[in-house]
Amino acid sequence: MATALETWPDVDLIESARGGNALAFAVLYDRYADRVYRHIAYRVGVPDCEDLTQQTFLKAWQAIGRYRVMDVPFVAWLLTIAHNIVVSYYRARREHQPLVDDVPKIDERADPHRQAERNERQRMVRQAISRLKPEFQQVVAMRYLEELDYADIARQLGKRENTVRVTLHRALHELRKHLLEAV
Amino acid sequence: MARVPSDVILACLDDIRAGRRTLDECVAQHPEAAAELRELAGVAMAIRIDDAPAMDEAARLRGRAQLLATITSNGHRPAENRAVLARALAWRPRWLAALGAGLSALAAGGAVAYAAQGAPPDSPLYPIRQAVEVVAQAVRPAPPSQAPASATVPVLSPSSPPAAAPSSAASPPGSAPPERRQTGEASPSVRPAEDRGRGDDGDRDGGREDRALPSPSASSRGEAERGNPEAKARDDDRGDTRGATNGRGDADGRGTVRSPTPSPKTPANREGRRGRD
Repeated sequence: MATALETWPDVDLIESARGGNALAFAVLYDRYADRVYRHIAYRVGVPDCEDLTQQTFLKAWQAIGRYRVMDVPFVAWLLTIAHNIVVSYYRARREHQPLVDDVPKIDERADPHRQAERNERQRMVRQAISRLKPEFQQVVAMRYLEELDYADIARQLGKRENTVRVTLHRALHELRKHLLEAV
Repeated sequence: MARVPSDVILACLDDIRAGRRTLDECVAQHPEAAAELRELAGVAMAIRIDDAPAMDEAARLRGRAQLLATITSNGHRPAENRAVLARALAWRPRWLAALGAGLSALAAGGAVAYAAQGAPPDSPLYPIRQAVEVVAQAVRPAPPSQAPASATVPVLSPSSPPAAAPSSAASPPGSAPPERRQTGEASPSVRPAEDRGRGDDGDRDGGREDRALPSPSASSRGEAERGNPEAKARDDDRGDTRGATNGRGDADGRGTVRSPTPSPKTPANREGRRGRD
């Protein structure tokens, strides 16, 4: 059953999940869990990432009846749920220092000095992103982390494409300011 | 200097990130945006999902199992189910909604009436209790002893006044103040206040029945107490078992109508007598 489901396109899996087929939804989880996980990990760090990924998919299951296939790609919809969960997470913790304790990836073949510099730069960027206001964070994440096109982002956020571009443009300026402050 | 549109800047940054153009090429094509492109190119290039840690296979399998266990347990259903239910209910005729609303109102009213049963006089529910009592009095069927009693008591005194007979028969002369006898309320020394909350309903009902619908048996009881030997003999024939029934009947407020002269030997009769008084 699960093997057959794995060959189904997203649209059919979503329709089946709407009818209560948990296995169909599990296949969607298999397809997109990693992207959601990385998206969340980039913004909140590793320690709570697994739990927040679970919450994202659970919310998606509960709300899948409201998802409209023609409006936006499924992953964009998932990432919007993930974004809302991340915002709630920060609101609950009332802090915006989420990436300090993150564990950087270690590439043993790389030069240790260059790897250390790279890791430090990554940490600064992620911390700067986390200091953006949620609207900016969401657009930056959807465009540069998930590489969704502007039309999909606009549909998902209920905004016009040009508004999304202006928001991203402002977010990059704001991000640069935070990076300069951090140096 | 003219402000460069966002779409131009972002198109250049996207090309630089994707490797389709270099920063120098973009600056050459949009010299008016050179400064901004140089500032933002580094920022845009620094944001990479590759920097985020990937989900390892063990975590994915663990998460999948947890998710399946959660969504297949009760309490977690996709929203579509609720949407289907809502659509199905939306097609129901309006009278169903009206019926539901009526039943809800009835249930709420019943709950309030039930809660008001033991309301003391200073309670906000006391007016409701009074109203319920009035309605209950109006709709309550006549006690079975009233109508058929004429068949069981063949000898009636046609001259006995309807209103006077029950009050004189209900209690011995001078045993309670007249107004208390009329309302049928129990003496405060006999029952605690809590008892009056419910028991008074019955007693008061019984008193009203006596006053409004004098029963033949009450008339005969009056005769017996006034010394009519025939009536007294009939009452004595019924014996102490009637007395026991009488005591129970007082508790629900109907015993006074059919109660014979109580036997002083039976405690239940004494209780019934008190309730009637």
